[in-house]
Amino acid sequence: MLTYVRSSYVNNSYRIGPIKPPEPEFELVDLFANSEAGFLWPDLPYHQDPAGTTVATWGNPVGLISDDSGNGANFTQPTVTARPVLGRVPVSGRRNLVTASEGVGLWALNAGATVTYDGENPYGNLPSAHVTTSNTSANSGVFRSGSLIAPITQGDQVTLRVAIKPLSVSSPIRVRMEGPAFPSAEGSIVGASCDFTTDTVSPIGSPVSVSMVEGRDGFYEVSITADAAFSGQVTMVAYHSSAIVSEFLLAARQFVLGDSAGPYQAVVSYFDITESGVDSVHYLHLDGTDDSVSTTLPSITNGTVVIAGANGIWIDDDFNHAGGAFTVCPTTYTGGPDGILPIVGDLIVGGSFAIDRQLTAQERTRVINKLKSMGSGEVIV
Amino acid sequence: MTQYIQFTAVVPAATVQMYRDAAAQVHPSAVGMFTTPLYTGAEITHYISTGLIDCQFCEIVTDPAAFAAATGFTVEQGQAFKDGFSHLATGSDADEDNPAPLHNREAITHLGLTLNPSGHE
Repeated sequence: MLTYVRSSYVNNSYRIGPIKPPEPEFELVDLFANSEAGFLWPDLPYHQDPAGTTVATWGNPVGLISDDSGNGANFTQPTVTARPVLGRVPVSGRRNLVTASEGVGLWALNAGATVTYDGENPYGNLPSAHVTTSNTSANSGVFRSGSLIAPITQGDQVTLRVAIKPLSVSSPIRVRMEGPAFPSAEGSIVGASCDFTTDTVSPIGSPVSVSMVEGRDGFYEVSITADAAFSGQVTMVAYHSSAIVSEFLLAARQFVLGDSAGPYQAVVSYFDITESGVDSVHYLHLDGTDDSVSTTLPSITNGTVVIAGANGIWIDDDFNHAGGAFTVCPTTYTGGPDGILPIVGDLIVGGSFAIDRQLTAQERTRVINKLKSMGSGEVIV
Repeated sequence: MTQYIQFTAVVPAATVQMYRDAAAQVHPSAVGMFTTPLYTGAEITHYISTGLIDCQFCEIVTDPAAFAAATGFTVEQGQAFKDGFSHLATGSDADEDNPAPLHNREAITHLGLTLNPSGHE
C-alpha cells in the first residue's frame, strides 16, 4: 500500500509525493491471520512444567511450549526425563570444547591448594576461580581431569588458553596439558611456565607454541598449542613447582581444535554457551531416545508442517492429520518421515508450525528467510 | 529452584511395571517413565528412561533407605529395587580413575541393546 505524506525533508527542500513505507518484518504468526488451524511454537519463554509455573532457562527440561497460533495447541510433556532441554549456542557455532568454563567447581585441588569462586571476571558473567597455593607442598595448585566434552584424537592440533591474573605471585605459574592425550608416562606433557615478574613465558615439553599476552583488567592470556600425542581426554593444570604461597585468578578457560583459541566462548554448561558480540541460537534438544512433546490438533488435509533445526528446515507441504494427538517424538513427528528429526538437528525455538493450508510461494520464501535468520540451516530436500 | 541431574536407567521388561509404579510413587513428574522399549534382536527385553530429572528424585532411587522412606517399602526392598536396574547412571562427573557415566545411546550400546527391533536404528 502506498501512503501519501504531506512532506519529507530532502536536501534542504520539501517534496510532496508518495512514500512507500517500509514493509513490517514478517513474523510466522502472520500466517495465522485468518484463524487457520494448526500450531506455532513461540519465542521464549518456555516452561519447565506442563502447568507453566516455572520458566525454563538454559539447561532446563521443557514441559510446556505454549501455542502462538491462537489455537491453544500447547505442547506438553508430563514426564520429566522425556522433556527436551532448552539450550543456546553462538550462531557461529561452538568452538570451546571444555565441559565448563564458568561457574563453581571447575577445578580440583592438589597439594594443599585452596580455591574459591569469587574473583573478578572480565571475560564472563560468573566469578573467576581464586587459587591460593600452599607453602608446605611442592606442585600446589589446581587441575581438571576429563575437561573436554569428548576425547580428542591423536595428532589433533589443539590450543588451550586460560586467563591468569597474578595477585601475589613470586615464582612462575605453570600451566600444563596432561592426561590420556598428553601422558606423563610417555613424556608427552606440554605446557607453559609463566613468569609474571618479567612478563615472559617458556615452553614445558614440546608444544608447537606458547604465548602470554596482556589481557583484560590485569589478566594475562596464556596459550599453549600442541599436537595430541594420543587419543583421549585432557587434564588441565595450573600450579607452582615450589612450595610457596601465592594467589592468582583463573578465568576464561578455552580449548579449541586448531592453532588459535579465537574469541572466548563462555561455557556454563553443555546447553549454555555464549560469545560476546555474537547472536545466540536458541534451541530445544531432544535426546533421540525417549524425549517428546505432544499436543492435540484437529483434522488437517493437505496442510503444511515446517520444522526448523540447526542443521536445516524441513517443509512437509502435504501434511494430513486425522485429528487427535500430534507428537514431536524422538526421531520424527506424527505423520512425518521416520528419522527426520536427527537430520533436522536441534529444534530452533519458535521455528516449528503446522497450518491447515498450503503456503504461497511468497510465504514459503519469507518463512525460509525468517527461519534462517533465527539460526536454522538450509531447506532439507 | 529445582536442581536437575542427568539420569539414565534401564530396567528389565519382566519387572518394568514395578519400576513404573515405584517411580510414579516417588515423584509425580516421574509418571510415564520406562515406556521406551529396548530390544535384543526382535524381542523387547528392557525399557529405558534417560534425561534430566530432579536431584531429589535421583537421590531417592539410588539410596535404598531414602527409597524406603519415600515409598513405604522396606530398606531391603529398596536395595532390591536399586540392584534390579540393568543400568543406572547419574551425573557426568569423571576423572582419570572413573570414566564418565554412560547415558542414553552409550548405555544402550554398552548393554548390547537397540532402540529398534532386529538391530535397525
